[in-house]
Amino acid sequence: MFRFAVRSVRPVARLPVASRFVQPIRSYAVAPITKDEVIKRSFEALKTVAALQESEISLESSFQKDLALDSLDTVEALVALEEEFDLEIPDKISDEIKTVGEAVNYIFEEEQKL
Amino acid sequence: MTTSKQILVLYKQLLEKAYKFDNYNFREFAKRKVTDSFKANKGLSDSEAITNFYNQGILDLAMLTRQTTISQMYTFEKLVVEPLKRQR
Repeated sequence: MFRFAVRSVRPVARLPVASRFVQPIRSYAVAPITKDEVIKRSFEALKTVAALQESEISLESSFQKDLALDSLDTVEALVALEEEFDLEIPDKISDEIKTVGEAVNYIFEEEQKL
Repeated sequence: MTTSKQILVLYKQLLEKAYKFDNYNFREFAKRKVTDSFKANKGLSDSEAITNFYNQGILDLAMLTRQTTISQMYTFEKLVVEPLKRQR
């Protein structure tokens, strides 16, 4: 309802009548997610994984090498990320994700598609 | 013969289901139970024991699927310990 009000009032004041319907005002419920936000939320989600609580997480750190996770913990970390962002990482892609940065990139790309 | 790949897929499915409980207590219990029992059994080497454990996991997955569905039908207020989800 608010949107209609905005659409009908503002163009009358500023634009000539002909272009009133040419430029609809688009309004989003939520601003698109930024990369920084994805990174911040990923790190928070990763901190909930028991094996990662004390580790220093950075974008370059590899799950298995730097963070010393075994395959079970890696799966756990990825599921924690999935739940945080409400998406599902297919098995094929999760096999290729080796570092935190790769996971963040994948999530960011998926969020752009929404 | 059960491969480690199959085990990891089962582990992932179980965890994903465990997250779906609406009730905090059930959810946290299910997550803890799944991770703990996999960690406790990760040293299994006898292939028969592994297969038994895997089959038990399949049954548990079916059970979790049923119970999470039921859990989502009867939802309750959030507990104070639960962080509120951001508005999306």
